[in-house]
Amino acid sequence: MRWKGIIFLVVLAVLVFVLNLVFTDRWLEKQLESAGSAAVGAKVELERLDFSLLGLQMRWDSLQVANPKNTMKNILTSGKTDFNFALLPLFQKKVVVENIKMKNVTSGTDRTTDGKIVKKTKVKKETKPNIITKTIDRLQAQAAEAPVWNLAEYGKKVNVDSILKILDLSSPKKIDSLQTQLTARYAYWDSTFAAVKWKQDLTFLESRIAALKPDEIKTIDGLQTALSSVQQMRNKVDSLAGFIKSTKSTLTADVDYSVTTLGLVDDWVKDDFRRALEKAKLPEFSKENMARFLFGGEVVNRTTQALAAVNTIRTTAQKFKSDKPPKEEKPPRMKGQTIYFVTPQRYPNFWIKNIELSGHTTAGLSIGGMLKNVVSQQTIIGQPTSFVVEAKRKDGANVELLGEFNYLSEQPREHFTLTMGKMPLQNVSLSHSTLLPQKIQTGSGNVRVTLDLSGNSVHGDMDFAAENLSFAYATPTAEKKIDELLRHLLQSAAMIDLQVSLASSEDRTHFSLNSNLDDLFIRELKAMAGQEIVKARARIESYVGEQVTHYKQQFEALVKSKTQMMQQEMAGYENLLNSQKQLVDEKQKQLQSRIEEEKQKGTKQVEDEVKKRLKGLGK
Amino acid sequence: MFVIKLLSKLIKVLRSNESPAQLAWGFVLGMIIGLTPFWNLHNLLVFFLITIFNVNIAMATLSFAVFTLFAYLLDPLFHNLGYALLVNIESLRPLWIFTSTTPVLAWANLNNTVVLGSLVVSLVLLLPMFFFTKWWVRLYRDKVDVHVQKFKIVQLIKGSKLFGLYQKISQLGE
Repeated sequence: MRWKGIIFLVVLAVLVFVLNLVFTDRWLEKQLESAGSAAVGAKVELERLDFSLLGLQMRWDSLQVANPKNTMKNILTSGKTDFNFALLPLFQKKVVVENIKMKNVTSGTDRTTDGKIVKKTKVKKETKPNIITKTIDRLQAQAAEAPVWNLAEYGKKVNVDSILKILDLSSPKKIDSLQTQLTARYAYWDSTFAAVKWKQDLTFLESRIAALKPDEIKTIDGLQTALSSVQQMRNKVDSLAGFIKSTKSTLTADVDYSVTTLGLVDDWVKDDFRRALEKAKLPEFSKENMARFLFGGEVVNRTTQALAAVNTIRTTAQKFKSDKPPKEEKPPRMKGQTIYFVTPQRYPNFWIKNIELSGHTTAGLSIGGMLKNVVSQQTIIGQPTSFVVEAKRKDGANVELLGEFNYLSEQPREHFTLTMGKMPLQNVSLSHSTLLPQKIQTGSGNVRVTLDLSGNSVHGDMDFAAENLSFAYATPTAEKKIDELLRHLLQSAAMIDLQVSLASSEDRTHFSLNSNLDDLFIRELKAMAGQEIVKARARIESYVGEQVTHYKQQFEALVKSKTQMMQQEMAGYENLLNSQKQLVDEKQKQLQSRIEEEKQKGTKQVEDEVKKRLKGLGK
Repeated sequence: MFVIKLLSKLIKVLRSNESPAQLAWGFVLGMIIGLTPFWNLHNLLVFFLITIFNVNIAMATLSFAVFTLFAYLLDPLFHNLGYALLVNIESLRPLWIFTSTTPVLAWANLNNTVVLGSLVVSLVLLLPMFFFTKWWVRLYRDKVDVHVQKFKIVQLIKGSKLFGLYQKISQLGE
């Protein structure tokens, strides 16, 4: 035993205790801020955090979370907050908090400093796509395909001739190249059919089979020899049948490919037409396009943000819930991979039973809310994570947000409802579209959004109605004819009604938008620029058609004739083969019956001979 | 500087009056801290053992420094071993559930692949390394030391100003 060592340890323990009193709060504050900032994507700041190891208590004077989209504003702030950790679970490395009361919660307040953080570039882990990530990808792809219209251009006369001059059609070249490729393939088949001697082989066999006349063979030995040669012929026919079958399967694949290429040609022609329209900057004014143009970007943006957040929560919950062994990762050196075990234990790894919120927004709405069971493993406590946040104002404006994350059963389920009534819309931007004014000046809106995720399906609906609207324009008077027209339209409408619906499954995502402005805008835009556009589209379409039709017809004719020829050739061989098979079978049967006949005859002769001799013995 | 310091320290420790067992315990305990991730509960226990019992602290420090390098190199092996023990061997599952749910023991992070893998390797090596080190210290003192003292590099180290300075500083620290 080393006494100096014991003294050293005692001194060290005292030192650690003192340092803990002095530095833990600062250290913990930094750690929490850093983890929070990384999760939110903007600064999370705590003020005067105090952690008592002996009392197992934590408190802070204020919390502010910057809005990652506008880092000069806070998305959330709160006043004094304090809570206690449960002692027993802490020994098991489980963090359980009974109740957190967050008072003076506000949202949308200005910041004195910028809340932007420098994000570390993380190497993204390759994760298996799930229904949520697939839906996000498909929605983003659809948003990227949304039409981009330059309205200022549409009033002008379209110079189709200049576009046609510079138009480089790609389909004739592609058709030509495909034709060369298929011609080479057809040549291969021509040479194959010329080289094979199936016809000769089968005809030769036919002559050999015909030469066999079972009735003329009188001995059993002779019949059996004939049967054996028929059997050999049968084997030969079977072997030819094998060759013909495998050749037919390759030929069928080639024929299928040829037929598929006809569809490709149509796609190439469509592509050429689309490119020509793009060059001419000619829009297709449809109701669906209009809705996507007006609101698509904004709605998709918000939907994908919400879905991404749900995906993070679902993935994290699954990691804790799964009782299947986790896949081996490649963690950084000396960090390792932590394996979580699902056990019938009393406490989950992390559990905040209640978080009570109270405060107000900058728009004067008083907020009240409750988050229940923020927990790492719901199955242990047998309850889902749920939240409700309500905000009200004296003039009737109200917001209610309800949500539930349910990971109790095999299928993860999430459900959210957002209801907003009589919400003031001053300074709200509805869309990034150039058709709509930058911001709303006055008006109020009602919103109802539901989002349901259950296993491998996503369903969402939104109904937004804004009324008594007036808009803030960048310039007091309209400079262009189109602006003037749109202003007139919006003034006459004075309301916006937008419906969005989303349905997504493993295989497809259906996303639709409808608004009362779609028809109005289409009608007016068509009236303004429509005639010119319709004419130009028709000219381009007929030009593309003229240029491509010749190649297309030639190609189609080649594919059709060659396909037909090859199929006929093959069918000829098959027919011949089948008739030979039938012939061989018949001959085989004849020989077998002749053998049977000769056997019976021989037996009778033997019997007669035996009887004759027995009679001789009796005399 | 580091290599000279390490070599001279090793020679000094080997020639000290401490018993081979004390040196061997220092070596294996330092090895555990060196091989396993530093900030872990079991290392606190090992640190207590080194401090309280009469094991050679210099040897433990030396061993810690050497095995930290090995740990970095062997990390993938530790991870694979830890993963196999935690996930692939079904019969061990109740043990890991016990270690990750038992109060205090849960803080030992034994459900981490590298912690478990490296700790298992350290524990497996503990006794063989202890007896090997003990045997090697005896061998060194009886037979090898005489030859080592004649090595030019050793004489150079011992004769250098740097070594003299180091000796002085070391003495001041003691």
